[in-house]
Amino acid sequence: MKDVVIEIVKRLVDNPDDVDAKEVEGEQTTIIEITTNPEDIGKVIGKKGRTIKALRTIVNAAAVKDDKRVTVEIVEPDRR
Amino acid sequence: MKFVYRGKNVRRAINKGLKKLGITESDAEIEIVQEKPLILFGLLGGGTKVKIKPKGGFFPASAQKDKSSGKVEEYTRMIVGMIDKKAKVRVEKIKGSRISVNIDSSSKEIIIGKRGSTLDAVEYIVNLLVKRDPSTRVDVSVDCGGYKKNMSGKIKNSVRQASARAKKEDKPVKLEPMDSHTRKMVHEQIKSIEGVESESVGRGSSRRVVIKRKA
Repeated sequence: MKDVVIEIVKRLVDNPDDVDAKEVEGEQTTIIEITTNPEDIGKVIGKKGRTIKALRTIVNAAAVKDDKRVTVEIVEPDRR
Repeated sequence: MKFVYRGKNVRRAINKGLKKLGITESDAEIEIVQEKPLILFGLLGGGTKVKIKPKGGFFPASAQKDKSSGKVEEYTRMIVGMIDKKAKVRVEKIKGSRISVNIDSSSKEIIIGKRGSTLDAVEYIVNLLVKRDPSTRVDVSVDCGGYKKNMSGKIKNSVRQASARAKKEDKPVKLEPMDSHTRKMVHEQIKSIEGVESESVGRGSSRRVVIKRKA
């Protein structure tokens, strides 16, 4: 599932090479943490959060089968 | 082949032309023919004229459609594949720049979601991907096992009943909350029913159509 999310996000942004994601397993919820180029964060969120919301809806539907909850978060890259 | 388009300013003339031709700016050679202010809102001429020539010649709309259908199927399959890897995705209808795809799967209920919410999310993301891809210029409508088709039939029925009630009892009748496309469809339908009018009330996801008797 993570790989497909990466595939989709890569197609939405201007800097596809900077897209990465990792799965963080929680007790009930798995979080797919996406990192992108800071310029692209807005594109992944979308107007009024529509894009990220749609991604979460789809990912959740995919997880229903395994009786799990999965969500998608965008993580700001470290700025050191 | 060259095409001339007129507009209020350069930007508008170019956008109008590109839209008509179904190409992007990077695929076009653009030449400004005339740049003047509009005379009396353009009624007496004036305005800006641009000449647009598609690079590498003009390829027929049908060729573009074939390419778009393939892409649309590919994107839809990729997204729905997360939910059901065995789901079958097929382009059902092409009408102008509107492509309808249908998904067939053993887990239809999950793909559709509560009140079609998952299906809407799939459709939204497919359209985003299609818009980002310069080789496709289409609007995609995604259905699953005829769910949307059935829903629009059911909605039309309930609109007819609600209109009859609004007229008979002379009081406003509220419909279920609907998304903007559906509301537009309902408003259109109500225009064709005599003696009633409609408006939308509420905000966000609870915005709904209210049918009233015409005063």
